[in-house]
Amino acid sequence: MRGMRHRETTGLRALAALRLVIGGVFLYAAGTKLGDMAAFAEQVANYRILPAATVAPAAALLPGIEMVIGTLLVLGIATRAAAALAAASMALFVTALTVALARGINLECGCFGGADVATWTTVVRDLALLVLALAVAIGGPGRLSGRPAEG
Amino acid sequence: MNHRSLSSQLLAILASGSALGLGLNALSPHPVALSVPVYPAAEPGSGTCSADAGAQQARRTPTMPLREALTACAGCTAAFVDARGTAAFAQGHIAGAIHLPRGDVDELRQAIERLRTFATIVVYDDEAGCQLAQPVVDLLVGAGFTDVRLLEGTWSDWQAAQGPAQAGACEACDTGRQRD
Repeated sequence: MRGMRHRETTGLRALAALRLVIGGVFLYAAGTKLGDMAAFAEQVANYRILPAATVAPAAALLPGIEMVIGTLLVLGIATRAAAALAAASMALFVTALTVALARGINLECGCFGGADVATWTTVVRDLALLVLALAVAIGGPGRLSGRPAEG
Repeated sequence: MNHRSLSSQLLAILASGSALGLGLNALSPHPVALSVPVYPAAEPGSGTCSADAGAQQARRTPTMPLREALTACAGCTAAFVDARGTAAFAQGHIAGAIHLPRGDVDELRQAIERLRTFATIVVYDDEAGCQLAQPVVDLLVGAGFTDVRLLEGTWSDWQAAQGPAQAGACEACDTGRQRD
């Protein structure tokens, strides 16, 4: 009985740690883009997936959405929805990166502002974040959340 | 949590995030203009007619990678404009390309009008710094075309990539006094 409770507690702590990590990553990713949104839009365009007319609106909206997701995950509010959106956005990023790399496009990732070049390592990193976000979306906020009973 | 509650939370996050994104963009020291199309930049090291090799003005000209241009050529989704001289064009050019050497708009009017049926126009030459293609890009932009790109690569690169090609004069162009 005590062992089961211990495992349960450990699981809840792990979930809380996961959402803090993912939330922190999303907040950091959003923050690094805000200084030069025009440059981020060029990085989005370089993926050659979106039509040119839609690149600017997409680039303008994304950091805001990342920021809201990150904040909610860190605070443990609406955790499952925020984590589901985090997972969905990571799936989008993984798809875009894979398509770009498969097409031989030499581009900057655009993940955290700056000029980090997209590689298959970037894809693996985003896949890992996708799995972690899915775990939180399924498992919930864990301990230390703003709303313990929230699902 | 029921599905309706989850859906409403998802929508609320997307809506508030979008609004926040627009606000943050407006406050950014380098905001992106929402109504202006953003085209891919040149890829470092791809092709010889690239932004790095070209004039300062070429840095602001959207480009199309050779690989993407090969697809566009096969699918007839873009018009190709050859900015080289008449003799070079007659010796060989991208299949279906319009010959548009540097000149004034009135002189090249018929060739320019043929391009208006295409959403995207790709201009190329055989120069490392796009010296012939860039003025033609400027001419077309000045004539009101909105999606004009430089090919990332030259005619030689196109041949090396075994892109569709043909020889002969540009019968459809009627560019008046053509020149080398």
